[in-house]
Amino acid sequence: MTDDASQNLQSSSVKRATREMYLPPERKIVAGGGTPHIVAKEFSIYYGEFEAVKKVSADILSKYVTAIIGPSGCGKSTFLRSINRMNDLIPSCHTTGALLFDGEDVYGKFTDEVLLRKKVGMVFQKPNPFPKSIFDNIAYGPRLHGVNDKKKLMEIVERSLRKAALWDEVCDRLDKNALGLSGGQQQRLCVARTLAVEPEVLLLDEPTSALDPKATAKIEDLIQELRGSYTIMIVTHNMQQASRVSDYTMFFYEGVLVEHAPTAQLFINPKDSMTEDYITGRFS
Amino acid sequence: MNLGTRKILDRSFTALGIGSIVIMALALMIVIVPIVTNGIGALFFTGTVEHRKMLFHEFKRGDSQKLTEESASAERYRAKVYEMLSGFEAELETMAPEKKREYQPKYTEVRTALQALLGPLPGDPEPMLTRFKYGQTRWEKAEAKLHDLLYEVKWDNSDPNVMSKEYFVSRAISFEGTSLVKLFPYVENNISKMLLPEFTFYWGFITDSSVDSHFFGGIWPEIQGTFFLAVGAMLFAFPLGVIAAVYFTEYARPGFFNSMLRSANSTLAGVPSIVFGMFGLAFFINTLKVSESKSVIAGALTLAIMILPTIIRAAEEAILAVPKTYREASLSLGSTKWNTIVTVILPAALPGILTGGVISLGRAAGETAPIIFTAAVSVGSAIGLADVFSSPTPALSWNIYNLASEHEAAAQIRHVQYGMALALVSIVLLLNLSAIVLRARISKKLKG
Repeated sequence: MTDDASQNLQSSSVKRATREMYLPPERKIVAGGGTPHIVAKEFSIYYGEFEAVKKVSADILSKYVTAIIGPSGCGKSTFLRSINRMNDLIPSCHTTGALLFDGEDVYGKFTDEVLLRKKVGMVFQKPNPFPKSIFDNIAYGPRLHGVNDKKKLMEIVERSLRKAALWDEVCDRLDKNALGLSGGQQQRLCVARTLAVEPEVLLLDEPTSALDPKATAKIEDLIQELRGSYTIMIVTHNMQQASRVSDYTMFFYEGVLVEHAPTAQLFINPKDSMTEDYITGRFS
Repeated sequence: MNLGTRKILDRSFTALGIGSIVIMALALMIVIVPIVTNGIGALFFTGTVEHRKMLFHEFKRGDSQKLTEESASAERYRAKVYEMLSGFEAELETMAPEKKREYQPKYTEVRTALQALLGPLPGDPEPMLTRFKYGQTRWEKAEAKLHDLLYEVKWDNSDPNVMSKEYFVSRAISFEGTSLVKLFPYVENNISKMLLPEFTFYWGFITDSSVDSHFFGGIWPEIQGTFFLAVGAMLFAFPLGVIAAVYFTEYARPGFFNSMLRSANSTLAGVPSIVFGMFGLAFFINTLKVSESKSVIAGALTLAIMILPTIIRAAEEAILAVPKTYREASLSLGSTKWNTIVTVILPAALPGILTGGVISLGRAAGETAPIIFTAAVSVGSAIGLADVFSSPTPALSWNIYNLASEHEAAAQIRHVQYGMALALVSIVLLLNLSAIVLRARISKKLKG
């Protein structure tokens, strides 16, 4: 861990004490959490010349749920996808500043992005199961990372599906094609598939925008279940959802991180007038 | 534009579309129907006892006891013909010299026509070519030969302004007053007893080798040669094409070099096939010396180069059609790029890649020009798998052309030409059909 990061760790643990005052009482107990897991320092992301995310500095706390809100095109998805380097798929994308994951530079010269993505799992806007069986979908990650024992794979599949609250619905048809599931089930399958790799961080990029309210509720329940075990970051357009599921909320506007605060504080007593305008619906 | 005009325009466009489809279907029918009807004639026809004799002697196939009985019964009727011939020959010896000079060439013509109809006559020397060892094997051709025997062709040149017209004169009239005059009505009345026609299904047309440059026998060497060439071309072109497509879609960085490669690929797809043939000869045989001269391997390589652009294009399209989300999902689980390509992208693109492959296979099977220079011979026996590196092979596409245009007796083996065309069309159709089925099955499996 670099000096900078450890310094940051100290300062943020002081801040944390103050932040926790704003949290609703039932959200205060977090197992083993509290240290910053992801740290951004003057972090900017460019698409060619265009600066999509502007000099963001923030600490994302370990084992908390952090929601990212903001109007369309404000850079929230770009920021989320930069954490596990999914933006590498866009050739013109490059970054400045520092983004640290567990104290290590995500964009460092010697960073293995494959290893990083194993630790930082992601669930996308649209459910994207592979056109394979349910079993093979979940077992895809473990197989990649060297688990080939059928019994062990079965254990992992069951554990992951149980965590994603999908086991009871699919346990009798694991060999059926995953594309035959409903949209909500598919999205929970994607969560299970990500959990099977045993990541430390779960990035959710508008995970419920393609789902109906019932499926959305299930995903939100799932986030509540997983809270405390994983560092979760969720990008959402739905402010009710952000306030329901998250401990902390980041508000982005035109690439700038306007406000980053405990969710209750941000929604009840925002410091910035722009945040207030946004959450009260004066612009979107 | 008001509603009425729009409706009229809609209707007239529909009519135009239907019209063009009907014209296309008609054109297709005009091509396909004769090929099918005539081609089937190579397999199903009315065969004579001569056909059964030929099968027995050349391919050791058939019921020998039945054949002996049939031959004996046919010979009983033929014996009378032979008797008349020898009777006339004796009569010819007793004739006055100028009369003999008049009848001798006419008699030779009759003998030749009879030989064509019934096979070698008693006293003839053993023919060198197999085609002369048997009479007419097919009934419809026997009927034509009978006509040749009964009528002499004459040409009417009386009017110099009109093309000379043919007309037929009965041979019986020219033999009026001799003992041979009885021969013509006898043959005409008893021809079916001499040849014993019966309905024949000659499946050997597919599986037999040809005898005496396709006078008898089947087209197996051509079918096998086509198979070797097409499959050989696929063995080279398919892996190369898929690898190239993966490179283009996944690894190549957009830029001058990449766009050059792509346009080179498109240009290659438009090169006339005869140029590929010359290239194959110059490069694979003369420069690389993959074989001494024409060989299956040289032909397969040439065909491979020819179908490569199509396979690359199809595979590229198929890979690009794989949703980006699959790639994202795989990468986000900590998969490497290579692993993502092998385990997610290629399986999802498989239907498209295979369709392109099978259609290319059909094209390789049907292409003529590239193999003229590199692999095809007009007549030959089926080669073994070990010979593909050294020997050329007959192939359907080339032999259809060869038999129809360069064969010394092209008019007599029409049924073989049509049979070959039908075989080629069926092979290509079957391949395309299997591509459709394969695609549907894999897509269904992928969709769940």
